[in-house]
Amino acid sequence: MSDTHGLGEFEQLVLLSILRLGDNAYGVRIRAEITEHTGRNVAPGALYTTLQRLEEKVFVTSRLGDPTPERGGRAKRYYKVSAAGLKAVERAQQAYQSLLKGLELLGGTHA
Amino acid sequence: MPKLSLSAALLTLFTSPEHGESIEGDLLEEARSRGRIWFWSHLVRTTLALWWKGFSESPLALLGLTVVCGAAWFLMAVLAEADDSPGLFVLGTLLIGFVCARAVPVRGIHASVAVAFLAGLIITGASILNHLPAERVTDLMLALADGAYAAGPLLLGSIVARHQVVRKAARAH
Repeated sequence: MSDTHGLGEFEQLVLLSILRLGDNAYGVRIRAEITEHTGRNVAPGALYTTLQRLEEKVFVTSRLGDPTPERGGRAKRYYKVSAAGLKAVERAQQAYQSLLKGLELLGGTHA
Repeated sequence: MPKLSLSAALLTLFTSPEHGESIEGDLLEEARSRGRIWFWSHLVRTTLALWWKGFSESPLALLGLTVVCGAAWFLMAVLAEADDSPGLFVLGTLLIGFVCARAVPVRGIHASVAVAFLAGLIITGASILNHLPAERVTDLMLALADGAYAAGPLLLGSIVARHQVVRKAARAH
């Protein structure tokens, strides 16, 4: 699926990871979360361009944290899913659920 | 605006300084366990991904800008060749790169980097063909130097302009 209500598949993964991470959603953790749950090794470039695109669509907002020494004094950028982003990801997931209905996938029949 | 490191300056060519620094910080954090080669290879790949993002988001506008910038570069190359003046070529293409990145602040640098890359590639290729059969390493080095001469001033002009734009935006902010 390339696009669902303005969201690509990878954009959905990023939004869901940000939601799971809560207040600790920054680049390194988002990448690790996606890898942990999908087994997909995400290139940093793909993640940062997607995060910027989501920010431009106002599906996420970001704020800078405090600089930390292990990052060479660079601040972390924390991401948060906006109300519009939440709505978009909900709609996309509803579309998945609707398409899954009646199919014998994931070990059972989806009613 | 605080002085940027080389890696942040590279990222800042295609994104804001604030985003550039946080991306650099993320890569530095991961590089602690993965090493310096991982850091630089992903820094370059991330920079290229940010450059490509510009083209994928507004392909027609950037294609048009690349054609205009490329045509100006080509015209300058022809004029300099006719005048047998390498100085005119260097100064002219430096100015073209500067104007391209300055006149179109957000996307100009994307176009001039594309032109510099293509010009460097074409001139290097032509130079290799000219030296065939290239039996010595020196011939290949000369071909690479020709490519760098073709692309370098344009690239330098656009980088200078981009950093001026970024500094100006930071002051206004």
